[in-house]
Amino acid sequence: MKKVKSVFRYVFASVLAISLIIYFVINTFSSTLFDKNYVLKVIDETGYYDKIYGYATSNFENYIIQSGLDKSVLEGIITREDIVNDTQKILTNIYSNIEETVNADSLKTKLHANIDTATQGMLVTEEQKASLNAFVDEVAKEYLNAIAHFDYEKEIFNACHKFSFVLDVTNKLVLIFAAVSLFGLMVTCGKRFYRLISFIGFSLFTTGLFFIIMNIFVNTKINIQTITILNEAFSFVIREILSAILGQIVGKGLLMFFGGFVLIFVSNLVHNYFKYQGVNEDKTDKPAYKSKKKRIKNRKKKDKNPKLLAEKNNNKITEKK
Amino acid sequence: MPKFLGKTIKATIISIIVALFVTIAIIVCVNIFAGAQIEQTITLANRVAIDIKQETETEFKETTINENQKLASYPDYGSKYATIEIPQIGVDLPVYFGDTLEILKNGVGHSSGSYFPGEGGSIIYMGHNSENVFRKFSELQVGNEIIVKTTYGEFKYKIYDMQLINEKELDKLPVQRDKEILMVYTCYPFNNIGYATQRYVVYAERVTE
Repeated sequence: MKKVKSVFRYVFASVLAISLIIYFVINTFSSTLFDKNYVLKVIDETGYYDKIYGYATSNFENYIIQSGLDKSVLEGIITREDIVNDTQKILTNIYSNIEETVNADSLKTKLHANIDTATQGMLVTEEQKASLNAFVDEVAKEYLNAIAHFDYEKEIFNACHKFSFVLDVTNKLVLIFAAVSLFGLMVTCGKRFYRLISFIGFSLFTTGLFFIIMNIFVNTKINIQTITILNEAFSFVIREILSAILGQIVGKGLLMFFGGFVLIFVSNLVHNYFKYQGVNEDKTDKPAYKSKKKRIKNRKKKDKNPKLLAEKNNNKITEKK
Repeated sequence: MPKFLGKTIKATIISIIVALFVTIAIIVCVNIFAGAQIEQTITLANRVAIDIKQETETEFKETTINENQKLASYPDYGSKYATIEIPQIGVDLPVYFGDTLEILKNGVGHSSGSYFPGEGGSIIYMGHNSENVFRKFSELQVGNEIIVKTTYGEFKYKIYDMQLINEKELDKLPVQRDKEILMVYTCYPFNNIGYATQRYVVYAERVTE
């Protein structure tokens, strides 16, 4: 019975550890990648808007080189504010079910106006007009590429929404599992509080160890700092978010690893200290004294043993003397 | 050491060993149920993990070309590894490995899908049609010379053809390994206003002395 109970305790502690692993992973993702405000904060902190403004204007210059137009036609066609607004619209499209239109119409209008001013007094043929329109379209396309605008933001939102729903349901299930396993531990440990603490420590230690191993595995397999998607500014944001996720996981992992170790050690220490100091409150550890019937049985057993009987008699004689 | 401390250490070690086994069991379970997805994610992440040199001014170090016309080492993406000279039109420009817009701002770009000079295959170079790059391409004639000076040798090419192609006609810039052909292109018309949809291509073959 004792062994069965012990096995059950380890099973409950393992379930608690698995629940903790899933809970913390979900929690980390929910508070980083799936949190619009967090993403906006990272975007702001990494200087994304300024970088994108720099890329966009720099890329426009490449079209100017082969366009035969003066660089001044690009003046004032985009502002940092345009980039901030359009980026927020893209994030709204991805994180919320609100369809915000992102286009470069304002840029096109301003660029057309600038070109008209630059070509004033020039004889522009139909062919050149078409070429100028193509130029404006290319610059607009370049802007949309720079701000990472896709045509499939709706699809990303659907995937995000579905994933968030799955995470939410899993989170609730995991909490139920954690509560059940904790209750199971409490029942199997009974009044032995030190043992309950020790097994909670065991769960924390296992969770921490798993996170540390996971972090080492990811770091050896993927070099996050070289991940490149779309452009450097966007890649930097992605790298920052992924690093934050890994950082949070390893931080929680280390905390649980050492916390778990301390709980295991301290609970064992307290238990053994009282046990060996004779102030053992846990009499249940000595089954021979559990009941009167067993105590009598144990005494009879001692009486049958000649060695123990002789020792007992010797003790009595010494006491009389 | 007090007996209770020994017992405590023993009990703690047992707990840690069991925790280690449980962790291994969890890892095995994760590998069984989500191993394929994890492997896929890692492959995808590594596919987008590119170590691009940010500084285009970095120069490619000395290298050699062996008897099988293979370079001992290749330049980093974005690094300068050669110069192109076209004496007829006074062109003397740096050549960078790569064809991004940022590279073309600094000089001539080398299409990453094509061969390197001396390797015996097609080499594709491109540059803007601005005055300090290839604006004077229209003055070139069949028989004119193009010299490519790399960090591993000097290569001469003689122009044998010039063609006007559409920007999407990539078949006019074929990459093959049988013959060393240098194809250099720029946007056309040279004095264009707006977006140029045509390309002026100069074809030159290697001249071996």
